Amino acid sequence: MVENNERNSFGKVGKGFRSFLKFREAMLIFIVIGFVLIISIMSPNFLTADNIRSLLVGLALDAIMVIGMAYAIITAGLDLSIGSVLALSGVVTGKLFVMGVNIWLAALIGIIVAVLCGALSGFLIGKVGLNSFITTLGVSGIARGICFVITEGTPIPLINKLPESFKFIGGGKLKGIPLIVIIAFVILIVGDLLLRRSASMRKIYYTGSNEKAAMLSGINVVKVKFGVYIISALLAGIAGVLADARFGVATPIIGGETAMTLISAAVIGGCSFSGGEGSVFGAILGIFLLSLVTNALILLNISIYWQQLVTGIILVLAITLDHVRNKRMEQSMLRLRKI
Amino acid sequence: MNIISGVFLPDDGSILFNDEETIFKNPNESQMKGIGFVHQEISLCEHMSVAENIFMGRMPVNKLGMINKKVLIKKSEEILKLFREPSRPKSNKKIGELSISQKQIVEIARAISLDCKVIILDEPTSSLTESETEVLFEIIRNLKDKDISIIYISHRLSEIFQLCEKITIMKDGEVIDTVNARDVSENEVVNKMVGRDIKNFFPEKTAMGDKERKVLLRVENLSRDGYFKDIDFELYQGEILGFSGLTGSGRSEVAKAICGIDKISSGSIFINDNKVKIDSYPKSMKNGLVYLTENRKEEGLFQGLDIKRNLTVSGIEKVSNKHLLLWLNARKEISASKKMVKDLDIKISSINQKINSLSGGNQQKVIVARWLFVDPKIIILDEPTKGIDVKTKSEIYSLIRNLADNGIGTIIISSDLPEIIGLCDRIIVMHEGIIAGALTSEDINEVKIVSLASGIKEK
Repeated sequence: MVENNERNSFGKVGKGFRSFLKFREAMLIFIVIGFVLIISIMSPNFLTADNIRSLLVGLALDAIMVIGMAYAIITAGLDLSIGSVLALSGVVTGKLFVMGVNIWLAALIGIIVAVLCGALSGFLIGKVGLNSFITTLGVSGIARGICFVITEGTPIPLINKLPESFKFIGGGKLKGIPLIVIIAFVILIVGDLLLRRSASMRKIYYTGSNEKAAMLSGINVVKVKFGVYIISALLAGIAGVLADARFGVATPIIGGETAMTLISAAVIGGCSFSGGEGSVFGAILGIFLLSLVTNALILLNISIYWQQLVTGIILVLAITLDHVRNKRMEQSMLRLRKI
Repeated sequence: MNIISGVFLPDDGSILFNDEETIFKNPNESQMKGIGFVHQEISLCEHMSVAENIFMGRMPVNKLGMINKKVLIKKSEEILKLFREPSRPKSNKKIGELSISQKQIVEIARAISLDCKVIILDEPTSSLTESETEVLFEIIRNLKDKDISIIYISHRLSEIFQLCEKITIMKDGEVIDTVNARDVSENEVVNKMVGRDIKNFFPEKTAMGDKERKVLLRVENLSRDGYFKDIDFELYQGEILGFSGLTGSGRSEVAKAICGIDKISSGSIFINDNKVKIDSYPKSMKNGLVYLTENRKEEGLFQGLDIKRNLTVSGIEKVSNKHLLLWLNARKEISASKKMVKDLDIKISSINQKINSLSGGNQQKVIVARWLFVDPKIIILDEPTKGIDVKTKSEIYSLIRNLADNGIGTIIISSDLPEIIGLCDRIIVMHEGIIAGALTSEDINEVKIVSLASGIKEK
């Protein structure tokens, strides 16, 4: 029965690999690979260096931010403010820069302001005990509002004044690979490994799985939640600065749909809304899949207006599959228990 | 039982109800036919009134399809009349305001309102106090007189013998035997349940030499406004101290306050004669004082996580590298989990199995293992055997005794009188937030505990 129990989730894949990858992640990898194959057959432009590069650059910022969303969802929470915090960090940085502050100092302050937003969410959700949906919706409004107040609604152009070194972060390449992609990659690796292997980050799972039990197991739940929203805002802040560097403009309306994209990606990647489940790796695969869909639509000359529809279908499919699979597992568990 | 009531579908076999072969495809169908199922876990809508819960899904409506409140109240009052004061809940009260036993009454009332011929009760007393249990028994006997058949599922043998006429013993998914209650003794039933003779259900108590023993924990004048007052007691090394009393008498509250989970208003706590200030649970753990919750499902288990993670949660620092951002050492974690599983004889197929796939008894063992993993000096077990099969129960008893013999101070909070009498060296009985009395070895008997617990002064 030991064999059976382990095997039914995973066929004959090697054991080490199997324990590293969860069912969901493996499934997503197959889907992504399949998708890549199909698109590359249908469009010769897909597997070109230029297309791959623009695809990766396009998803880099979302990929950085999805880490924070994944963390929040695994604690059974949600961070709707990510997109607005992204904008706020970018706008603060840009505004300070045009006011004459050194760009690096301005970027640092931008990120600090973002972290303060995270601290506010974290305090309200962790310490006061407010609902994460409403709280981050509110904080999102505050952050977006500040953006509009600072910019008076118009984007701040930076491109002509930015020093080369800063522009290089957004547009430069190392050995043909865009620097922004490398940065995202490094952050992703760190974000994934930490969640997988650090004892402090493991507490995110416990908190999400059963908050009361976590508390009664000696975990400081307030601290965990506080930390999660700070990290999420920090990443959004970094992404905001990177957006400035990439686009050469600080826009108050950037990231309007970011939160929804990130939630979809994280959920497609296996993060459960009831908490305690999910991984950074899965969430990134989710982002990948969504970006591939957009990319494919463009390459295949299908109207971009189809994108949301397809994304929606994928999301609904993913959660339905999840639900069915969970139900099945529950049944097999019951059977196991009886034997 | 879930099959009879239509929650699950049978793989095979048939059900004869009133000599008629039936298969219930869902709970609704079985209810219509007159089978009511009162689950172990109460499933009522907390924010709705008693009457609304009784007639959930079958609200009396007027011509416009609106709920007819007057009829609703009247009908539910009629049913509630079957139950006696003072436990009878008012029909307009919200479920959230009721005690657990009252909630159970609402569940039973719902079954009655369906004109049920058969009512299945699954472990109805697992969260009731002794006196509430008595009330429930009376209700059950009443139902019996009204020609309603009862199937009563319980781990507690004494209840079965008090109530039932016929006993069917099941083990591992098979019917072992069906007997007349009059023809068998409790021991025979236990033997059948376990499949072997249990000679000592409770482990031998270790001889106490109080005077030489070290006081491990001393609590002085501990109070928490609104919950308990002036609690004084000592726990010796290697002792099993029982806390008895009715649910709501403040037993769990005292335990939680000692461990820093709840705040205290005044009083002091000494461990090994050193005064300690415990204002948070992690601090209590640092002092070697741990608390095992009575609500396994709600406050103990991490349902979606595997056994390994459920086991190492509290001692996670022990399996990680302290110098490197608390980097987890996967190999250490696995070997430590495997060792605990072996030590406690937890029946699993793999430590990567999800905790929900285990039986209640094995789940409880995992949680006990969680606390042993942090090497506690004092362990407080709140209802450690609630909803657990007989065999695991006796295993947990000997485990607890073993711990005590190794010098760990143990406090058991339990509503199960035979358990607390059979296991504990000394028993403190609480009544309405104060200590009503303490009993030692030869003084310990059911009558004394009950009279202390119910506040009857000894003459």
